[in-house]
Amino acid sequence: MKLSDVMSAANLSFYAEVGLCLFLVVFVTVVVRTFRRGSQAEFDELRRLPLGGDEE
Amino acid sequence: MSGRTENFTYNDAITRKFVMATIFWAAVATLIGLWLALMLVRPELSFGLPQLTFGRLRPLHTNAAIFAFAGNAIFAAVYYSSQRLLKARVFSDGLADIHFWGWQAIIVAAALTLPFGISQSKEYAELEWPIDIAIAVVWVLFAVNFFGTIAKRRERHLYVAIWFYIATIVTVAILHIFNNLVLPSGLLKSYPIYAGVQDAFMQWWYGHNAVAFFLTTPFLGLMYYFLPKAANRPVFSYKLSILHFWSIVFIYIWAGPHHLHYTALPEWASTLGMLFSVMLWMPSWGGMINGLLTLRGAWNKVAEDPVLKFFVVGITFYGMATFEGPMLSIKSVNALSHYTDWTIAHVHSGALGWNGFMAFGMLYWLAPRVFQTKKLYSTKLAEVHFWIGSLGILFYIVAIYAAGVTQGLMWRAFDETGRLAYPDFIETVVRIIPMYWVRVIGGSMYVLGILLGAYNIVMTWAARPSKYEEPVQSAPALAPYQGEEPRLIIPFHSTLSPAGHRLRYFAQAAWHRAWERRPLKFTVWVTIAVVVASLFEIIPTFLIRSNVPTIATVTPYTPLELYGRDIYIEEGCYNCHSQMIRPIRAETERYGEYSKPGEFVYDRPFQWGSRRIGPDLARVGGKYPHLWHVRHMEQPTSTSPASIMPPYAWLLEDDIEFGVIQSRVDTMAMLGVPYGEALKSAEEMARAQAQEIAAEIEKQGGRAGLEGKKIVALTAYLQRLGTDLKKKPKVEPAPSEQAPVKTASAGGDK
Ligand code: HEC
Repeated sequence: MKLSDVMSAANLSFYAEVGLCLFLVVFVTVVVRTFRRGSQAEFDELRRLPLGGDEE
Repeated sequence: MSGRTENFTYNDAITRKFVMATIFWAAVATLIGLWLALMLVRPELSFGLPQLTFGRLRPLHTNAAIFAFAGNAIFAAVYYSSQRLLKARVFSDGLADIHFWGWQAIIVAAALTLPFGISQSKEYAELEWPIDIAIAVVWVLFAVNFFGTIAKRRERHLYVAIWFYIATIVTVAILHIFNNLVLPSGLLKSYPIYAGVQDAFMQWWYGHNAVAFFLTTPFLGLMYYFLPKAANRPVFSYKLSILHFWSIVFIYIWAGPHHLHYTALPEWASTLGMLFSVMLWMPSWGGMINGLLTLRGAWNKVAEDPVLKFFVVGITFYGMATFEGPMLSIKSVNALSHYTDWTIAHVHSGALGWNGFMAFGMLYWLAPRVFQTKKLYSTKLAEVHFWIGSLGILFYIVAIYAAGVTQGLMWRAFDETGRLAYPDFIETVVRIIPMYWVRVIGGSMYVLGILLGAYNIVMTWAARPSKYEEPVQSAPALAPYQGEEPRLIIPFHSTLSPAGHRLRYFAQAAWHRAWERRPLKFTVWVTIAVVVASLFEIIPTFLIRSNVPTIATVTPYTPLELYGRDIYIEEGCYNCHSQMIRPIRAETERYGEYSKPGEFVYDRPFQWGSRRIGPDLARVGGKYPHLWHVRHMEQPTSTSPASIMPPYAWLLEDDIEFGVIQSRVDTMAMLGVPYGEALKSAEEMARAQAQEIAAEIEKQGGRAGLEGKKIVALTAYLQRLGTDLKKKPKVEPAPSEQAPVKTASAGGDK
């Protein structure tokens, strides 16, 4: 019996949809946490990073 | 947390090198493109030289545009911006130089192999295995240098541009390696370990994500650094940029199969691809809006500064292309657009508008700084470049959209009696030739702009000081990371249980802020996301049998057909011809029975193609007599007066290298192709079949003595295409009988 026999019998295509949903959930979590209030000050500091770097 | 102040300098010499390489390859890539556009209206411009034909040069154009032009621009951006964002000199100057020269050597190797037909025939992955290995090595050295720089940084936080660079480096490495797994059959020839549907799947998983992680993420990194720099104001919303990043890592990676709608791919896989593609639209526009709003209150600067103009138009094209991409992945739209010039218009609005304009905006900003001239040689000239380039893009894409939609509609048009309105393919070609001329005009304008840009930058370089300064920077060293927990936004309450504490820690996403400062963890997570998403897509295609049902009458190619197939690959016929009939009535009427996954199990590499400049060839076997193919290949206009296919007269002169056939058959056998008898006698079998075909050509009134010529092998292959389905299944298919010398039926003369 080959691996592909096992895999074929296991009805796995369903898991791709599960994977898709998992990714969606993780992604939504990231979105939600990013847009929470409160982290603004820190982000403000980060925003300005490109403007430094060179001493004139 | 901060240590004592340290002094350091930046390595801008490496940026200067990549800047120069970028403008050089920009000119080369677009000039080849222009030449190809001309050859589509004047095929005789190949002058009968194999190296100049469309099929061989088109891969050079795409590879040069992506890896030489965009690639060098990316490296210039990465070296300049990451040193400054990390407040550290590049980890190793020596590695940076090896990276530079190694990359240029790879590009030269591409230019020395692709026109000579040395090709894997997988789009944007055409380079043969020794060059692929060189690419992997150079990429790894680049990665070592990049992560080395991160390790010695003096800025704890990694700005979002660095995230984009990390994702690029990791993902491109994975894509490149897994799409190029081949078994060599000689120094410059190989067969992929994947066959048919699986090979197609790997290829477009690669192709799609190469667009994401070579032409999108690094350019977004570039945007998030150079746009604020040029506008001298911070990015509009940092939150939006984080969202933008994760959407690409989590969602874009899933969308690959949308390149293969209506092909022999399982339904669920392409539906999945479609869903994710549509979801991508929103974060991409978030990114575009973020870029444009960064210029809030600075629009007066845009009027004066060509750098910002390039950025504004570049970002706008990003928005257009990322809107159009999801749209094209919707099946009903794709049914019309696929195989037409619509796709070509789409990629050029991305490549010329987004990549080209972002790159030149950056170059104009960088040149006076890295060449230390205080200003650009000529701002006026840059303005001219901007306008002529923008107009050029408009001419190009409007004409090619029109061509795509026109041809797509003609292919599917039926008359009142229910028959194809344009049964003769060439009618649909002739109709769009005027639009091809407009493309030549638009393309010329764009190229002219690039030449002006190159001149401008070279003249800026000419005004450089006799010796470059290396201004000394200073910044406090980072104390070694103690692994301290980032503070919570709402302070810890002693009343909270440990579990409650953890929950809050999670909810406030302190974990995220913690590991975005820890590049190793960050990189590992990005890699896991990319790998997991890829595996979810790939594994079922490989391991679920029902996805590729076997067809009993499908047998391996005979040794001569295999050799003929390799000629088809060398000549890059796949650049103009598909071999994949979709289950759509307009297609089955025109080309015959739609293609089944099981028909491709011996196709290494697959040859489905992506653009039908000529008709589909999946069932061309037996459609014409052998002699027709000989005449048509020698001079296509002899059988189809308006044809724009290049003449392939040398195939009637060049000898078949019978000596290599055995080793090619052996390589295929090693990959699991049941070759039976041919394992011992591939050469004799090939000679016998060639003899048979040549005799028939002579009988049909053609030239005598072709039995040793390449045309016979190519004909053998073309006559085999799509015929297996029509064969009667054998009662007992013994492996040894599976590769007999076959002559496809020569009937069906029209
Ligand atoms: C520049 C694009 C281009 C390239 C490259 C090209 N072709 Fe064609 N081909 C066409 C066009 C257009 C037609 C339709 C007009 C004609 O019959 O010549 C065509 C027609 C054909 C036909 C006839 C199909 C039919 O059903 O009537 C065959 C067979 C063919 N090409 C084989 C090849 C092979 C083999 C190669 C590579 C060696 C090749 N072509 C390369 C554009 C191209």
